Amino acid sequence: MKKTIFLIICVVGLLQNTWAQSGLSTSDVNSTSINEAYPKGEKVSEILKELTQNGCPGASIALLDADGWWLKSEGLASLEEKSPMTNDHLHYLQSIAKTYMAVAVLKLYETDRLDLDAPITKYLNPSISKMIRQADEITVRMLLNHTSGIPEYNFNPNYATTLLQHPETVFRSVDYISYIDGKPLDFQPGSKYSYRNTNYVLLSMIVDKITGNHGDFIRSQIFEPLNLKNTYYQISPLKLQGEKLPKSYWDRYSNGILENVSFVQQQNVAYMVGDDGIVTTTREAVQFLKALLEGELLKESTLKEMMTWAMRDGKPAYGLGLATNEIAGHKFYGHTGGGLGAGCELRYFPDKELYMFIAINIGTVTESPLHVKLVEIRDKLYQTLLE
Amino acid sequence: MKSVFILVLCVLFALTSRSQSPGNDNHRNFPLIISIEFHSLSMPFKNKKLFSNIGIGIGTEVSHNGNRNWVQQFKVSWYGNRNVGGGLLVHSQAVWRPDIVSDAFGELKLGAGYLFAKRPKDSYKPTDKGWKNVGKKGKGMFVLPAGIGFGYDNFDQKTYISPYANYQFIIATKYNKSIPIVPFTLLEVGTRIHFED
Repeated sequence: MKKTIFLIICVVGLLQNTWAQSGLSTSDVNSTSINEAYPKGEKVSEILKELTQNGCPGASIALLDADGWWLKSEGLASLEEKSPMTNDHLHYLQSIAKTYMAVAVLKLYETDRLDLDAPITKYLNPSISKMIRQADEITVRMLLNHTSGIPEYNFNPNYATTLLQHPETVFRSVDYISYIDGKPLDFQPGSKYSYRNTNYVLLSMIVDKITGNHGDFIRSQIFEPLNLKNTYYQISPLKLQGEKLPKSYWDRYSNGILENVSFVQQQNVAYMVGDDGIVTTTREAVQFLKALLEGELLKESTLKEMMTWAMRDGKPAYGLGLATNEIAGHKFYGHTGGGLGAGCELRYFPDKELYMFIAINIGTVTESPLHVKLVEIRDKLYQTLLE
Repeated sequence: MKSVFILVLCVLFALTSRSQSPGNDNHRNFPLIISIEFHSLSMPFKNKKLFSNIGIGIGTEVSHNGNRNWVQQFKVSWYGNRNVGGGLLVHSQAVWRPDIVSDAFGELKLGAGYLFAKRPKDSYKPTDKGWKNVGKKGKGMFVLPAGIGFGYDNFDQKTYISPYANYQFIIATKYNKSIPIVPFTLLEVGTRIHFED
């Protein structure tokens, strides 16, 4: 019996070694196994290491292209405990949650439960509509592509001070909208593009009105069909604390010194609606974008709507929950996310057929001298990935 | 820091020289001001909890004109704040005290100061050898405090006390590169003890 087990182990070991060297069995992009011999793996690994040696506590990346899946994590999930960042860690998607929210809205559009060009007053409770100036001139589409002119809720200093001084505060959807209650629009609805988180809070309220609970709707329409078992939305701060999340760090005084702000970060993410609030693994973030762009979530015609771009400085910038631009001459679709103690980028480069997601546990919403070097290294990462 | 103290001493000296004129004075210079303070990162009158993040203050004041209605205060306050970090605040404010009724007065204050803000938690700095714990060391910032309040003052040749309460709004400058100014508030309850000459 012992001999048989030993023989099996030897054979499996030998096969694994052969597969890894040839890179054949893992080259299928539909496979979920990791290609240990991913061609750019070594280079990317070095770049991640460089990130973590230049002021970023930890970083995780997931790549998927014709060479298959490749996941890597470097640095520390916790500076205090010196625990390493791993591929199993969850990450805050921050604003990338807007793409998920947009998919939920477009699901309702596909089933004729929502008209993208109807005024938002048709779906919002009157008590909410009356907080927004010219609400009857603003359409659902304008919320989705940030052309509504509705002001930004987190520009209100009372929001930031409440969050920092009283992180235990439970924010409800209406609380976010109350920060812009009665404020004039930043511009005439539909006249230009300007990114505002408030738009997506309102979208979550619209989906609440139609479905009863937008969180459940996102789970049933996106997480469950795609079998995203490590993706969570609106989970309680207590549950978030129990999850395998890296600690979050913020350069409070912009002097290159980082402070653990995990509690504020968790509280903040737990209560954000529509514009933020999702945590996931690097792999599941990529799985979501791949499923979306390959038509697993939305019809082709709906995807076309999603990729009808609002322009910024004469260039396509933002569709319906999806951004586009170019890096080193390569077009991409995706979204970025930034928070007090985290940052991430989810992108697909069609000419390279490359999906990528990178997450770091240093805050990106306020400036830090550490960011200068990190941006340089990120550019190097893209150069390597796109060469 | 040295220059701040020298400046404070010079102002004190100048004021003391000016305020020694006899007349119908109702104020005695250099009282001991002691206070309990409650700090918050908040816009004015938007505090969610008024009586949290306790601190203490100590200071004195000198009259500009020999009367209590126009004085210059000098204070040092220390407060704790476990969410945004405690701090040591050194400031001077010109105070105007209009009479309200009898010996009660209102207070309007405006001044400048310096805040040594600490961090709420230990923090870390990247070095060639990895991450170095640099403790709660924070940052120094110039601040502009303004306040309103009220109090009671019954001048006496002997030692007398003058209780007061006021609400300070403090703008801290250069908090970080993205948020150049940050609002703090200090609710202050205290008394001035004017010792017998």
